[in-house]
Amino acid sequence: MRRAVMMRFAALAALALAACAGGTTPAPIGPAALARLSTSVAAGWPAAPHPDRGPTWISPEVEAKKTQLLFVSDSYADVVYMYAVPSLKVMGTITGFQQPQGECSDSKGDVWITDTNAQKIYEVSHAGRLLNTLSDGDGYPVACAWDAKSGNLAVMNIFNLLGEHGEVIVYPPGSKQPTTYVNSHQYYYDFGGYDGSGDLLFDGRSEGGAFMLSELPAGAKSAETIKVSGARIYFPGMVQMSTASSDVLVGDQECGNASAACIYQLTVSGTTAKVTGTAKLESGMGGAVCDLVQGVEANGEIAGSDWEFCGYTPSTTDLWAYPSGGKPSAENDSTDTQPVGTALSGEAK
Amino acid sequence: MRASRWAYALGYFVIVALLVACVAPPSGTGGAAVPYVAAPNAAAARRTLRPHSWMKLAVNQELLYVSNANGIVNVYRYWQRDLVGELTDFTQPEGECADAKGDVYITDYSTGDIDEYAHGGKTALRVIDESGYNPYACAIDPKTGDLAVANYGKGGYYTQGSLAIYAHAKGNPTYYSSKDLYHMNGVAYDNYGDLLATGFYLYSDEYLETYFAYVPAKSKDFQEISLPPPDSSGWYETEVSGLGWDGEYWTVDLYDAVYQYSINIKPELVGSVKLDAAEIPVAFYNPNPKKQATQAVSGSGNDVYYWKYPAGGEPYVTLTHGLDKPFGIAISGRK
Repeated sequence: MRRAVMMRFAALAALALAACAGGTTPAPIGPAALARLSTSVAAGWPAAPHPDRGPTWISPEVEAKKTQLLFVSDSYADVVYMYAVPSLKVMGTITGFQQPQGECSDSKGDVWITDTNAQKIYEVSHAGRLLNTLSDGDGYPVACAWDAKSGNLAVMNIFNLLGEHGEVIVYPPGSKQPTTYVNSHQYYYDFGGYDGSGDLLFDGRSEGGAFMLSELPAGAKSAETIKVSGARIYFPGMVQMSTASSDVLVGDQECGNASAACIYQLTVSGTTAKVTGTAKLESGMGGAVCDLVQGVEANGEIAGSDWEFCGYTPSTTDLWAYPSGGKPSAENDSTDTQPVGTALSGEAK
Repeated sequence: MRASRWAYALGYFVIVALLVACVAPPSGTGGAAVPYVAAPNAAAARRTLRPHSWMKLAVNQELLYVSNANGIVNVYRYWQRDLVGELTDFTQPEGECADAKGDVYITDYSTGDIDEYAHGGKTALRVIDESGYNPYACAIDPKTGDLAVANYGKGGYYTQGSLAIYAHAKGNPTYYSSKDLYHMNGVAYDNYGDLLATGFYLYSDEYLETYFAYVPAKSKDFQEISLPPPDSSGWYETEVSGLGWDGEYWTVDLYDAVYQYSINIKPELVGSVKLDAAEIPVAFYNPNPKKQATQAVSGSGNDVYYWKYPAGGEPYVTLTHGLDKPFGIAISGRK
């Protein structure tokens, strides 16, 4: 090699660098805590991860057309699948995650994907290309919400680096430095969504495991509990402002305290919320879906996935009519294994 | 990985390290005398006669620019491979790059200049002053026209190098640096405007490690990334000769081959293309940037080679005329 001569170098200064340099790395949390990182009711016991280590694949059709896409994170294969809507044809597979979970999208069609074990949040384009990476130095991110009013990105950390209570961290547009917010009564932080006024609603659980809904009002320094009446919610799922009404949509991964999923419509007033309706979701074969972790509502439909760990049928990604629910209008049962988060990107046709 | 790397280095020099740890500064001139290391392509110093630049009319031709150790940049017609010009206003020309207009940028390690030549021009359109560093390689963002320059530290190996990015190839650059990529020696853009850079840190006279950094087009966020090496070592223990984008994958140039990578959330080694005898940075001939390049050009000794790409293997053309230890190669489009 022509530049082999460059290796002739004094070791001393380099060694001094190596010996003197160093940093502090937080002590890793234990395996018991890691089992709680999942946002699903299936936390802890599903099969060991089986990551897809192939390169990212994106169909050329994605860039050639303005296809509306559904991004679905799969925490078994550690990938994010991109489905065309409404055909649910697979248009891409984004690889390289360590534990992708909740997602959100912005008005440009960029999608934010939380990677829990990597403690990172990735922004990818509609075409699935990495645009930006945020490092979460505070905790384990499991979900996000984008505020159309301010451009802020809220990230829900299910718990912090010490394995203690979670938090919401909010990144201003273009910033890598988030501000941390908590509701002192809430322990686990799961999914969230902004209303049109910049208020963030998010769900989670108390330290004892009871469902909680909280609100971080725009400009507030801390979040407060929203008391829910009209139904009992057992395990936190999606949180989103309805695109068709002023309702807040809150998912329950254990609807009716059973292996089922439903989406409640809530009317929020001050620090109270009342359940005014329910959409129950069924699998293509009939019967309740096993687990919808995070769905997304738009265009009179709920898009999301049935993580099917209840029986022997495969997991699916689906479109359900909303608010009627019932069986899916479209389904793909050939791709997902442990689907968790979803986000829509691009305009509907 | 870092712990293993340091353990390796410390184990290798443990006695010396005990003596000097936390005493010697990480840079500067203090401490024991440091053996001076010859700069890349230092053979330029032996050139004493400087002819004038010349150029035959070469419009509507695809041109191949090759920098040589004798300080001359040769210009060939790409397909005919005949010498149509020589650019002589350099002391130590190294890496080259071409923009969408066909302008060619040529780094001069010794003077710290980056000279921009029009396609087929024999005098520089302008000279970019990067004299705070020793510029070594460059790349042009096909989307924005930004110019990226990989710099060695100036004045020896104890001085930090940098990556300089000139927005639209104008004005003052934004500098990025990293202790790991202490000396930057390779840079490339993909079709989307994402940037990949490489550099190395010399841990001893026998051991260096190569590192990589990625700058996504949107965030302009300089982040170190780990490219899985072709072998099972876990990291690059050798200096790479260059970086590229073949129209489909990033390429890392090592002796006799380029290794193809897909970089998105995590870099993945996708494959490799054997380029027999390739020893200097590889340039790609790509008539359709939306597809993969169809030819690769590199060289070794006093030769420049052409390969079919991605077939690779033995070169199908050997170019020898007028070459003196060629290093930098740029292919400038038809005008």
